[in-house]
Amino acid sequence: MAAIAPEAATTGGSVFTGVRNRLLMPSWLSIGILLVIPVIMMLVYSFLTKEFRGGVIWEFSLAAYDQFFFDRGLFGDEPVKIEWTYLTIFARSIVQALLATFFCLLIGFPTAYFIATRPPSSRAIWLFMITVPYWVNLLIRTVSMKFLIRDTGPLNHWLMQAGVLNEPMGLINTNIAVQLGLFYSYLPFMVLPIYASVERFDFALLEAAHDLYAKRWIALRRILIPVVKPGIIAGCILVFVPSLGAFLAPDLLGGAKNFMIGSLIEEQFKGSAGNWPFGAAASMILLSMVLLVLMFYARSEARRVL
Amino acid sequence: MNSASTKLMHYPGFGVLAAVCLVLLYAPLLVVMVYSFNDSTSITRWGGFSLRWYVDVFTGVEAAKYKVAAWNSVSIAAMASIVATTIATSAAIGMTRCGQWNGKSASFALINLPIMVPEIVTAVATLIFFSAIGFKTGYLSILLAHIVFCIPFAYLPIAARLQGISGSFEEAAIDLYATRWQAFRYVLLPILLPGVISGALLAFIISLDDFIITNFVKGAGIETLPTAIFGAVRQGIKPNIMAISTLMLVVSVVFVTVSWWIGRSGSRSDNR
Amino acid sequence: MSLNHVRKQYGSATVLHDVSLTIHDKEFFTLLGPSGCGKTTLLRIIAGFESVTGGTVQLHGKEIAGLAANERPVNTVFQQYSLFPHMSVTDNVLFGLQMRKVPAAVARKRVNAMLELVQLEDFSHRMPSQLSGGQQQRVALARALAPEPEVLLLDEPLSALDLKLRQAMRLELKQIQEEAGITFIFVTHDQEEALTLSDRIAVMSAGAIQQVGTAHDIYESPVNRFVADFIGESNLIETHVLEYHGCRLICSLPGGGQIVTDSPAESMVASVGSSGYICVRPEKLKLLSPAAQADCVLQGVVERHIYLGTDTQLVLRLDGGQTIQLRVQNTSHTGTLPEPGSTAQVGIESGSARFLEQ
Repeated sequence: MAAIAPEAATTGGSVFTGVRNRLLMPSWLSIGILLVIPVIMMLVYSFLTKEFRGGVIWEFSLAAYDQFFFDRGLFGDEPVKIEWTYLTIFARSIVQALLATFFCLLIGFPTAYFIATRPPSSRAIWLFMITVPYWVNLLIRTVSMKFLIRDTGPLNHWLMQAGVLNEPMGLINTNIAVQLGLFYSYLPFMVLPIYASVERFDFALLEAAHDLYAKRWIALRRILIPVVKPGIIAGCILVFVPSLGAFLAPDLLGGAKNFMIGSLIEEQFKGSAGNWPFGAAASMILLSMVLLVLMFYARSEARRVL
Repeated sequence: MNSASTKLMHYPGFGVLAAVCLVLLYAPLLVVMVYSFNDSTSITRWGGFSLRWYVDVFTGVEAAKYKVAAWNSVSIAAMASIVATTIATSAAIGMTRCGQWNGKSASFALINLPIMVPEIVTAVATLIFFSAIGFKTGYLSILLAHIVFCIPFAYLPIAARLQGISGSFEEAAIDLYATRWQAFRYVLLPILLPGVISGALLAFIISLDDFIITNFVKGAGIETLPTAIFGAVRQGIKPNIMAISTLMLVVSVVFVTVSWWIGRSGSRSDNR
Repeated sequence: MSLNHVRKQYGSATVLHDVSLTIHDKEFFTLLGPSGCGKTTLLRIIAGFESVTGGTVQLHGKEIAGLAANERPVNTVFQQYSLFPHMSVTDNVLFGLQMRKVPAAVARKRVNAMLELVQLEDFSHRMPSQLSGGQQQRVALARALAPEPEVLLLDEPLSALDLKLRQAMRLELKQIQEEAGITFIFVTHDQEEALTLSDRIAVMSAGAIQQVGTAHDIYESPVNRFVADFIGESNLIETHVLEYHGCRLICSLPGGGQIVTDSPAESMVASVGSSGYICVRPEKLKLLSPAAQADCVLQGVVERHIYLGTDTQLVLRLDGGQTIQLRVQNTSHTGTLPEPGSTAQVGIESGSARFLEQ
């Protein structure tokens, strides 16, 4: 009804410009004090000496990082060997996270594309349906997965009843179980950004490709995917990063044999066997990896926009 | 769009995969829901429909523990949501209504930092922080941690809605002698309200559902619903756990649906 | 109100250069200019939404440039009306009064009076989304008038309305301004609007005031080429100065001949030989019979006719290549007009030519 004239339709307004800093101060302060400073403290702690029953002694030491990478034997006097235990855990986490990203992409991309090409009325419903499971408590979702696939669980029960299996699959406490858990936890995160990109995609481009003799799948590969790439990358990051630091999936579904970074870190802070500096060091390494990925992403975004 | 181009957009198998995706997402949840009504104590044998596990949740042996945990969860979520939403609203106005300035993207990164840092890192860092300053872990430590990571979740829907509201309403209010606070309270806030409520509901659910951070900073004497469930699961999945899970599940879904619906009706009512 | 040497810069871009204006009480004053000329910025400076980089703004002798918008007795009718969507018509109009802490009973009476003024008494309980564009505009007007401001600013308020409605609203606006007895400062890019409504007009371009005057002054005596071009239609004929007698000049006409012209503002410095343009409005040109003798005659070949309903516009190509346009009313006396391709003679009404610089 009231037409928007070109000049004045900005959302800027001038009213609150003067009090900008006052408006932003609460958020800056709360996040600064309760997140930034704690992370700095964590960095500091990773360079301290551990106290026997948890906690730290305020004495500088590289022991935590040392322990992570190197094996100096029980009394610290053997020649230096690489400590593979923890590096293996990290490697396993990275692999699991990459696999989860891969599977999420495999299922998530077609799903996102499918939803984006539905008529607008049903699109909202599809989106809603995809997002609802995300909003269920991650713990409960992981517990449900555990319930479903464990040896005495319904999945094995039905398959055995149907005669497909003779004995339980032994899915629980395996890498596969953990992978399933990760995939299940973060799948919506892959679907949504890809959906957003595909929704904005101009399908006339596909028509143009078709007009130039391209077959459907080639058009997909050479036209659609490159244009939609930002959404795909965003989705991958949104799955990879949380998977890397995941705790619940490896803990509930993987058992003791499938430690990932999350479980390793958690172990350092529970009870008296803990090693706080070591836990802090492991967290710092995890954080650095995540920040690297995010920085790489930010830079590639900036380059794309420019 | 004619049928030829619609056909062009159609990739066989994608629809199937989409359906598979949905099935995969819902299967475990539906299974748990169904089995929560299982009359038999054996997990897998179906003994008939029954509400006994729900009754058990509320009146059984562990009922008291769950009640306290639930109360903790809900009260913390409510308070964290209110505080985080207030802070987020203020921040959203500062970010969307003040044009471009040096440090704006840094500010945006800071506000969204809690989402970008992996939860376990946040958990460890917060625990170390409280320990270093000698702050006793317990209810308050959980509350403080929750407030911080709820801020970005409240911020995003509020900022999104704010960007769709023209700045000239506030200017009109100021032109008519309102102070900045009056312009906010009587003009901007009512129009912004759907976004604020959306953000508050989101923050509430995020807080209610949180496990990892809560687990780290809570100390020994206190439980929230997720940590209580986790502790119980450690000992084996019992049917009453499924009942509680189903209850929490339903609560989450209801909250998110309401939040989504309010958000949509808000934007629909402005499209004259 | 007076603005003195107002300057506005955004970073390195200067949006307003040295603007000085005096606006009288109870005047309907218009800022007229194309998009981007700075008129809206100037209005926002007066309202208090933008600060000045240099210069002063005074209202009844009092300096207001440093005051916040909510401290100035100046109200604005916004371009998109900006009616508060969650408040009824009454509440919208009431808002300014409430902010000024006017007692409730007095406020109510004032609101009713305002709604009567804009003829919307029956709509007091409607919400803005239930009103048409014209009705919303009137509510915006009532809302801005309710707190009895000393000056009312209107930012292209009619631009969103369709033509018929716009024309009707123009008359209403003028009536309301006269009834209310308040100074109106009106911004528009539509010159017809400006000419119809204003007591005085300031024509702006590229951040500077080109000319200030009544509609008549601006139309009949433009000071430069921009104003001549922007307001109405004008023929600009290349010329150079032959003789110079103070404010009267004798300029050359293409094809020989001379004409006496006015010169514009005192600021113009002309000397013999300097080149410029003769500005003649189309309606001041007269088609002459081939045999007629006159001093100021232009001769040319008819290029085409353009039928405009009330008039026919003839486009003539003069010796030397320039085209001019003239209008002939389509009355029954008109007879046949020279066909395209034939030559015609055109006379310039005496006293209607003006010399303008490059």
